[in-house]
Amino acid sequence: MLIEEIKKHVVDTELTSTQKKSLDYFLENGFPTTSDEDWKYTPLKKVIKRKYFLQSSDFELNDEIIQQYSLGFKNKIIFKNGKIYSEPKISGLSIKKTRDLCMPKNSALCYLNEAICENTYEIIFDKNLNLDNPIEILHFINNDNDYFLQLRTKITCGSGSNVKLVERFCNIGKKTLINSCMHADVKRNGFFEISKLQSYNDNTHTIDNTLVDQDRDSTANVNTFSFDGSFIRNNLNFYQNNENCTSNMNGITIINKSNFVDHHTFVDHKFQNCLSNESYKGVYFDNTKGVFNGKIMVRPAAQKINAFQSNNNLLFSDSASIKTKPQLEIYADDVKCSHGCTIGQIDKKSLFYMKSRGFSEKTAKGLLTFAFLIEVIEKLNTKEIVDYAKTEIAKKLSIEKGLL
Amino acid sequence: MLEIKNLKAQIEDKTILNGVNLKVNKGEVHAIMGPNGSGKSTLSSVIAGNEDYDVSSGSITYEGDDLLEMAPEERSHRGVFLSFQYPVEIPGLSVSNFIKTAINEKRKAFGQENISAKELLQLFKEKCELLNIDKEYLSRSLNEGFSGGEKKRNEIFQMAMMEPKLSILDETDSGLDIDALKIVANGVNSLKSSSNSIILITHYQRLLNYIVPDFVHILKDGKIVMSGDKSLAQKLEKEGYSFLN
Ligand SMILES: Nc1ncnc2c1ncn2[C@@H]1O[C@H](COP(=O)(O)OP(=O)(O)OP(=O)(O)O)[C@@H](O)[C@H]1O
Ligand SMILES: [Mg+2]
Repeated sequence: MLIEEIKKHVVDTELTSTQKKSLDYFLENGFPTTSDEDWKYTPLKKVIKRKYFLQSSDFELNDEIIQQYSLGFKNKIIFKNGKIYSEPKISGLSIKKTRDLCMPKNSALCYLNEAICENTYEIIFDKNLNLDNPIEILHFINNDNDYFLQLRTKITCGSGSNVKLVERFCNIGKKTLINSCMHADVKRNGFFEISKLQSYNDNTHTIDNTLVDQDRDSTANVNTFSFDGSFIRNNLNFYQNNENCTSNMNGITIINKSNFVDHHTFVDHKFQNCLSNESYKGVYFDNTKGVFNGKIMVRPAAQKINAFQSNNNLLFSDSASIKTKPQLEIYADDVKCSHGCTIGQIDKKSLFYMKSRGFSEKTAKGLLTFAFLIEVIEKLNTKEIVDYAKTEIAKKLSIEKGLL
Repeated sequence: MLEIKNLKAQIEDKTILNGVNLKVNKGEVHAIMGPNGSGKSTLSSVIAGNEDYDVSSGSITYEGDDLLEMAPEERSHRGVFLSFQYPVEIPGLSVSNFIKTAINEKRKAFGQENISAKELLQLFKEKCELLNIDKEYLSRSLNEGFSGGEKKRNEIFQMAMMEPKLSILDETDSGLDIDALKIVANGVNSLKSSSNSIILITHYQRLLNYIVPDFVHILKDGKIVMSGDKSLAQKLEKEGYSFLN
């Protein structure tokens, strides 16, 4: 069992006091189980039953592999098994390794991460730094043994800065369970965007914890593309810590085989005149399972806020399923909140209409599905990312990308 | 071109078409009239290949081949076109991409290359002019938020773009204003030739003033109960369906 491995591992590791506290918390509570409300439909038990090793080994990385996973942006921050491998030279950007960094947490996995992660990095973007192009964060993973990997990053977006990131975990080795914690601290009037490209192989299980703190007048966008992976759990939290914040969440999930994707999101509206906009669309083939849980908290002081949430799903198979649940807690009275979730199938009338115009079943279904997703795709502002999404979507729909 | 013999069709256990016979030759225009619920749209759906309806007996021959054996898309590739009484809305799919794909799917079926951007643009331009359609409208989502009349005009626009051999226009005239009716009728007339055929389903004599039919049929209770020339439509307009009894 994984928990035994963890106990063995910490015996010969020297822990800081922060780490020790977190470890105690974790060991007391253990991994979440299906009796935890937030993990009710998440088959974590199956994932942690395997034997993984916490010890990491080194490996060779070459340009060819990097190109394979890169969307082609010039600037890349590359990690190997969680350790920094290369970084771009950009004035106003600094990356440093720290040990004793307490970060906010949204699950027991964050405590574990804090306790045992050996490579915590702070990525700091200075104030008013304006990046024209996204920076890619590529995590390459390749271990001698089946691997339980902790990734831990704190990102600071200085006030008035404009930062776009693209993040991808690339496992080129054995079975790996990734537990990633990212804390983004977006300062006043900052713009922060991260696009998470979740195209994993069957060997990869991921738990992605992302927490975003926002100061006055800031905007934060998180785009999550869940296209492949046998087990993906995303915990995404936004904290609006001052007025006039905007938080956008866009999600596209399109999975097949027996894959599992679970999105848990939370927006904490604490101040007035803020906006949150959440739009997740899912397409489920074969024996896939999806979970969406979107929590929105509007605290008493958060007057005149707008909070929108939608989760729309298409099921392509009788054995696919999605559990979707909005969770709104509203304690202010002058607010606009809306939410909606739908679960449906491809409309038969539309399908016949298209066939009667000469569309094959595959093309008709493909274009109808793409039309279903387009609302989210249109919110993406980077050509390379739209292109990535279209490529992956076309692959899933078995149609030529040129049709999209 | 098209020969329907003793066609019976049902949905669940309900018989809707109860022995339809119809022969349409190349270059002919046939009008089908008949009371609400008599089976006109069902007949057109069955010709187009809607699998919701079970054909229990009879046959449909198209250009010498068994039409009922063909998938709906194959029928389309072979030149069958249905202008729907109730066209569907597809949010997120533009009119232009829809039509481009329809054209290319047909080309693919015949092993041809995709239509070139230039050719397509020229075709769009020509047909927009023919039907008095603003080009801006090609980038709108298919039928989404279109008025009733705009949807009908869009059907005929697709017909013009796809140049079918057999067109079935199911109540294309309902919902069109007087000017639009003229434009659409003119469009249809200009697409008419000695090598293609049209079946017009309508409730109103007015359309038939513009698109003059060679034959008029009355469908009632799933059967063609009377056929004649265009004067039959005039008689219907005056007397209603009561004279059938
Ligand atoms: N999918 C269906 N399910 C159940 N009944 C149907 C279905 N389609 C058609 N019908 C029935 O079959 C009959 C014929 O319908 P159809 O739409 O073909 O009539 P129509 O002649 O086109 O009428 P209208 O002039 O009103 O357009 C009607 O009684 C209708 O209710
Ligand atoms: Mg009808």
